This record gives sequence, structure tokens and C-alpha cells, in this order.
Amino acid sequence: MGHWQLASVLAFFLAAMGWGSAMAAEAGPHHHVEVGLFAEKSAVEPGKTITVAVQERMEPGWHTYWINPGDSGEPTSIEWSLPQSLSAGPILWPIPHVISVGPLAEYGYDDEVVLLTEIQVPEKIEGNSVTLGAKVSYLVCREICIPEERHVELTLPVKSAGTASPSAFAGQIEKARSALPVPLPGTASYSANPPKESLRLIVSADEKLLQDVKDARFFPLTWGSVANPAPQPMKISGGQLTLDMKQGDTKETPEKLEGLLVLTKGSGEGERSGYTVSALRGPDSATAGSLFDPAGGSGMGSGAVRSAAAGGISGVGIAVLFAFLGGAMLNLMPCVFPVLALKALAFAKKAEHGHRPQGIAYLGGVLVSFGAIAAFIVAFREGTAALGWGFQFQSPAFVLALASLFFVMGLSLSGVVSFGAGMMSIGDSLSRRPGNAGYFFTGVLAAIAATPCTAPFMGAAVGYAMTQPSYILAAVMLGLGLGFAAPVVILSISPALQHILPKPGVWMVTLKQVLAFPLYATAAWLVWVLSIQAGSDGVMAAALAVVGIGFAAWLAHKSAFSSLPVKLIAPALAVATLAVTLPMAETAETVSAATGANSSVLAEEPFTKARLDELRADGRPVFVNLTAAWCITCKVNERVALKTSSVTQAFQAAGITYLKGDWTRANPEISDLLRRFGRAGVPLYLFYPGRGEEPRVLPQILTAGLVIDEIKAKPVIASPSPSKGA
Amino acid sequence: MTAAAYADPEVGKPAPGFSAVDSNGESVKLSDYRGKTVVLEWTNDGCPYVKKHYSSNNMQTLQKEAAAKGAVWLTIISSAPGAQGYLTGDEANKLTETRGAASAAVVLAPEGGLGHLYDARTTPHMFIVNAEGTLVYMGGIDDAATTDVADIKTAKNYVRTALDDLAAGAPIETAVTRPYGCSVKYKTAS
Repeated sequence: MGHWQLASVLAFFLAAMGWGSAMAAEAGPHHHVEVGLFAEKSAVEPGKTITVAVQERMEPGWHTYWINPGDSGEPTSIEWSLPQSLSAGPILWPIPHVISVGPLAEYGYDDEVVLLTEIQVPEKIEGNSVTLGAKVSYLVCREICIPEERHVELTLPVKSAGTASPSAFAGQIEKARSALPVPLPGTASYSANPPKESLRLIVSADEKLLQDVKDARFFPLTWGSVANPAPQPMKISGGQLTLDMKQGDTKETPEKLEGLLVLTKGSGEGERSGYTVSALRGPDSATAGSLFDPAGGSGMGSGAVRSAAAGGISGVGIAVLFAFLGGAMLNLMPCVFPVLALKALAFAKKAEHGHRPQGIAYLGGVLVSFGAIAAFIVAFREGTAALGWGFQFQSPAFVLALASLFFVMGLSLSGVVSFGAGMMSIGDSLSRRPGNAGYFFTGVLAAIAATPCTAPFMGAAVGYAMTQPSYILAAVMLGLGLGFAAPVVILSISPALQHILPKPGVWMVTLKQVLAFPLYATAAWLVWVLSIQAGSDGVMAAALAVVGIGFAAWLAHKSAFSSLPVKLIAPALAVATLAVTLPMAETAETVSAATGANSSVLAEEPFTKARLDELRADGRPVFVNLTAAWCITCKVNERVALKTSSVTQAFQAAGITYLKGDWTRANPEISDLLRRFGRAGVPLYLFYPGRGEEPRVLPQILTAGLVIDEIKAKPVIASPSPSKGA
Repeated sequence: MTAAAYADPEVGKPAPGFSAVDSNGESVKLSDYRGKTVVLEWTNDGCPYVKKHYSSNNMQTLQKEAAAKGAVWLTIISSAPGAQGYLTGDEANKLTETRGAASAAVVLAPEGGLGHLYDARTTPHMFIVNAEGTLVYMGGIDDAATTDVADIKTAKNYVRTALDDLAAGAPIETAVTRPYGCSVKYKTAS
């Protein structure tokens, strides 16, 4: 302490003697940076946070560094010495500049920079004043680099909450705060073009945000993926900004490319605003880097190929290919299995005839359904109700209708009802070509049944499609449909494959009866979904529907040889049952999201934006799980990862609050969060490390180890203050 | 002169060949060392990050270890005349003596060509070329991007690990890392 006072006194005299600002507040070697510490308020208030600023004022030509210093350099670190239990958050980094040093590029600040930090003051505090101490270490460079370390202190009185007046620096701190980067109000993705070693960042945002932008620059958060000195040519059209970058040393293409997008508007130097960006990786693309390419390729004829690629065809092509693969894999997912089993059975039954028309009909049914899904998403994605993969399951009436359908199909396989014979009057064409119409219908059903499942490849393709114009979204969705229908279509047009199927026989009757049970199981599962969506009233509606349909089926069987008016009673009864029960399910009160007997394993709270904001403001770590009862992928992840004891223990050890957002029914707050992270549907897993750090997005397929790894410390945009000596 | 004008070196590909002059006026050619592991170290004795590794004897120890394994260690100075770290042959030899360095040669490359050929960005910036002439490592000397000598003890030294991997005939676990330090004080384009 004595040393400090002496130093201050000495500094005062030196300053008074006209040594000027180059002489720092500490007697000793010459420093190239003046370091100051000041607070927004004139006193600390118990239970509140106070914003403090470390100000670095550089000599002309000298600079200090951003959190990612670029090709060389080192960011400032602040080691706080705080009394009692005051705690400091990370540095809130202002927008850096690109500093070109010969062939290198560094990210930092010249002239002056204000580094804000939030300090949390505990409820109880002893004494009349507190002294905040900061050891500020930084590298300052011009042609040469010098590491400097400075100690600064600030003593503030303690005043009761709400009584501290703004300090003389309040305006300066407010100005610094308003210039901090904010989360991008839009979505971002990126694609890589490995042969060209290029990356393309694609940002979709409000046209207003992109209006009059004359320059854009992406500052990667960490070293490795992006080359720092390369120019970043920009293109803006229709609410979309593309930025072409060069790959960095590691050539890594992480699932998320994180960094800061800085947009410059206006004349002269212009006005710069920064947006934190977490761009999800889309499929590799031949389009990335085409702005880079100075006209022409290496070989003859490749020029034409390249210019076609520049039109965006190949990028979409790869997305559609991914969608196709994902669609094919959907067939292996449990959702669709019961429906497909039915089809295989039908093939076996009629092997003596050709199956080609039926295969085409099935394809038609699938494509119409996927097209309809795409159309719905396009029609609604501008509106408030954000739709996504599986959105139709958010309607209880839809779920109940589907459950009833599976139940009836089960009854049909069990031999309780038989369609066809008793339905002559309903439509001649239907009975004459029952196969083809049936196949079309099966295609529709299979597509609908598939939506609660997510297959590998699909996430990337659908996620990419969501950020793209409507025609690309449609192309990707139809690609998904094609892939999905492919196995059945191939089976239908290949006589060779049909020969593999066993000969029809009595075994088929047994198989048919056995196959009824997967359908009953599916119906049972849908009723469970309904129980979460619509509570006990929803289950009651389902029970009524099942009893009503069962009665109608029995009646239909009983009245098969009666007169026409009598025969019509059964179908009329079935329709009436649905007319009563569907609205009943739809309007049932949603019960609390606290569901499931397993909830005690991992203490969870329902997700609300307010709760998340509150926890984040407190600087507490939060894990967010956005899920839905109908999302089978979500359920599997919860089973194998989130509900395991190792994850539970890791969460408890790290003091993580677990927020579960249930998208089983539409929830605008959850849709909004999904959209902010460029997602079209659940699952979405987010980890907010706390202390103001940026959230991390976890993959859609989880393991316990992966979750535990992810909640450990990693480099982030706002670093915990001390990195030295660690 | 921009980095983009050169094809950047890539791990797993042939290391760019070069012929340069050392502090004794002798010619140094990469191809002469075919059959041996070659370590390239970009240096600037005025840079605090370089000082960290020399004042602690960390760099010299590593140079001796490499020599014991039969590797050839080339220390390269790419600082332009007048810039920090620039040395004449005599000055370089004197420095080698005073700091007890154990590199096979100190290459003087003030024109910047060699540095740009390897896209050397920082001091120190390390490269390792294997016996077949393939670039097998590029990046930092370790993972502690600070000027604090105390950090050397706890840092993971990538160059040592890579040399051990090479000696054991194993693939190099971490082949590309972040180079850290001061920028190389290249001759500025006129």
C-alpha cells in the first residue's frame, strides 16, 4: 500500500512538471499505454452489479489486442483482486480493427480502448468502502512488441441499493456499452469448398440491417479455421449477405464457426456495428469462394463448369444429395417401420402382378406430402408461428386423428374390419384400383409418420434449407422425399428384387395379424403424446375415439349384409366420434410441462425466456434442452445422455440449471430461440457457460461423454479474466 | 507483397525447397538434409516471446535434444535491415555464443523470401520437415501463448512431442497449431 501511495505522489509531481501523458501512473520504465480504472457509479450497492472500465490509451502507432489477436500478439488479460465476495465477470470485448502488419493481419485496438467488466456485489458487505484492484497484462506492439503489466485500483464507498449516483465516467461507459457487439438478429450458416480452401459465410437478416452496408468483415473467435490476412469479398442481395473467406492453417470446418461480424455503413470512415455470429456448417459447397476466383480455372473447359457452380447449382445439389441420403435413412428409423412392414406384406401378396404403378403411386404420395410440408413452412415462416420439422404434431387433434388411423389400420390387419367389400357405395374408382390409391395413401401416411424422427444427414440439409429461398427449400424437401421413397420404388420396379420375396401362402395371414401390433403400439405412443399435450382430457378424448371406432367397426361387421341405410350407420358413427373427440382434444387445457416419472433424476425447470434471461443476468451456467414428446430423437438423447447419472452429477457439480423447453405444443418463445440458432425444429441443446459467455450449441445426437465434455471450459468470445500463469 | 501470392505450405505435402546463406556465409539447402529431420525456427532476439524461450534455456535444451536425435536445427532470421532482430553474420554468431544456442546453422534471410515461402508469421514460428522432405509440423513451440517464463513448465511443447513421435515412427498427434509471438519484422513492400 505504501508503495502505491508513493508511486501516486511521484506520478502527480511528474505530471505537474509537464512530463505529460507518456509517463504512466507508476514510476519505473517507460510504458506505451496509459491504463485507467473507473466505474459507472460513484458507489457500490449491495446486491447489484457495477460496471467498471479498464481504459487503455496507446501512444500513437501502438496497439493492443482483441480476444483473438490474429496472426500474432496476445489479448489483454485482467486479474482482479476483489475484497469480500465481489466477483468479476469476463471482459466484454469491443469491436476490434484489422491491423495489417506486412503480410499478416492482427485484430486489435489502436489509440484507445475501453474494456468493460461487470462486477457482482454481494448482498452483505462489511465496511464503508471497497477497493477494486486490477492487474492488467497486455502486449502492446508497433513495429516491435512489448509486454506490459500494470496495477490499477479504485476505491468506492458502499451505499444502500438505489442510492448511488452516476459517476463522472457514466457517459463514457454507456457509450462503450452501446458500441459492444450484440447477437446477430438473423441466422448464419457457412459452407466450405475444400479444393479451393475457401469458406463462405451466409447471413440472413432483416433487409434494414443489411441496407447500405459498404463493408463487412468476419473476425473469427479462435485461431485456425479462417485465414486472417485474406480479403473477404462481400455480396448482398435480398436480405442475404455472403462473405467469402480463405481457410486457415488447420483447414478445420467446425460444426459452428464462431466470431464477430462487423458491418460498416455510411460515408467516410463509416459507422461500424458488431454482431456475434455462430454459423452452423452446411454441406460443402462448390459455390464457396467463387468470388475469390480470379476468372478461370486451371484446365481447359473448367471455366464453364466454374461459372455454373457460381450460380449456386452445385451447392444446392449437395444439399439435395444430403437430403436424399437422409430420406433413405429415415426408412431405418423406428417411426416408419410399421407402415413399411405393411407395404412389404402387400408386395408379397401380389407378387404375380407387376408392382411398378404401385411404386409410382407410393412415390407420388410421399412427394405430395413432403411438398405440402415445404409449402406450409414457406407459407408460415414469415409469420409469427415458426414451423419446423414435425410441426404438425403440435396439434393434439392431428395426433388423435393419426392415433385413430393407426388403430383402424390395426383393426383391419387383425381382421376385425375389412375395407372394400362393405364400401362399394363410397366410390367406384377406389374399389376398382384399390392397390394404387392405397399405395398413394401409404406414401402420405409414411411421410407423416416419419416426421417425428430425424436421420443422419437430414439435420444439415434441412437446417441449410431453412435459411435458403423457397425454391431451394422445396428442392431439399423433395430430395428428402425421393430418398425416403427410394427403397420401395426400387423394389417395385425391379422384378429381380421381387423374386427374393417369399411365395404367398397361409403364413401371410399370420404375418398380417402379427403386424397389427406395431400399429397398435404406434397408436398407444400417440396417445401418450396426447397425454402430454392435452392432459387427462386429451386421453379421455382418445379413449372415447377408440371406443367409438371399435363400436363402429363391430357394427359395420354386423351390418355387412343389411340394407344400405343400415350399413351407413357404422361409418357415420365413426365420423361422428371423430367430430366430437378431435375438437375435444384440441381445446383441452395443456397441463404443466412437468412430466414423466424420471424428472426427479435431473432437477429440471420449465424453459421460459424470462427464466433464462434471469439466470444469464446472474451469470449462472444454464443447460437448455428444447424437446417434444413426439420427437423420438429427443427421447433417445434424454435416455442415453441427459438422464444418465454421470451427466446428472456433472450438472450438479458445475451448478448448472437445467431448463427443459417443451415444444410438444407450439410455443413462440421456443420457436424464437430455435430460429435464433438457425434451427427448424427440435432437438436443440444449448449450454450457456455463464458469466456472460456465449452459448454453445451441442450436436443433435448426444452421448453422455459429449455432454460432459461440452460443459467444461473452452475458449469463448469473452474470456475469463486471468489467463496468465495458469 | 501478400501472403496470397505464395502457395501456403501444408502439412503432409512436400516442404518448399530453399537455398539460403547462413551466418558464416555458407550455403544452406533444404535438399542437402534429405534423410534427416529438419527443424526450422523463426527468431527475433528482441521479441519478448523469443526471449521467454531463450532466457529460460527452453529453446537451447530443445535444440540439443533435437541434435541428439540426429535432427538438423535451422534458426532463421527474417527481420529486414533496420528492423528489430536483424543481425549480420558476425552479430548472429556472437548471439549464438552468448545465449548458448545449439542450432546447426543460423540462416540469414532479411529479404523475406524464405519467410514468405513458409508463410512464417511469428517469432518463434516452428516447422518440422521429415526425412522424406515432407512438412510434418507447423505452428507454435507450445500451447502457452504468453511472455511469462513461468508458463513453460506447464505448457505442452508441441515441437518436443512431434520430434518424439517422429523418432518413434508414430504419426504426429498435433501437426498444426497456432503460432504465437511477435509478428515477423518483414521488409515492407515499397
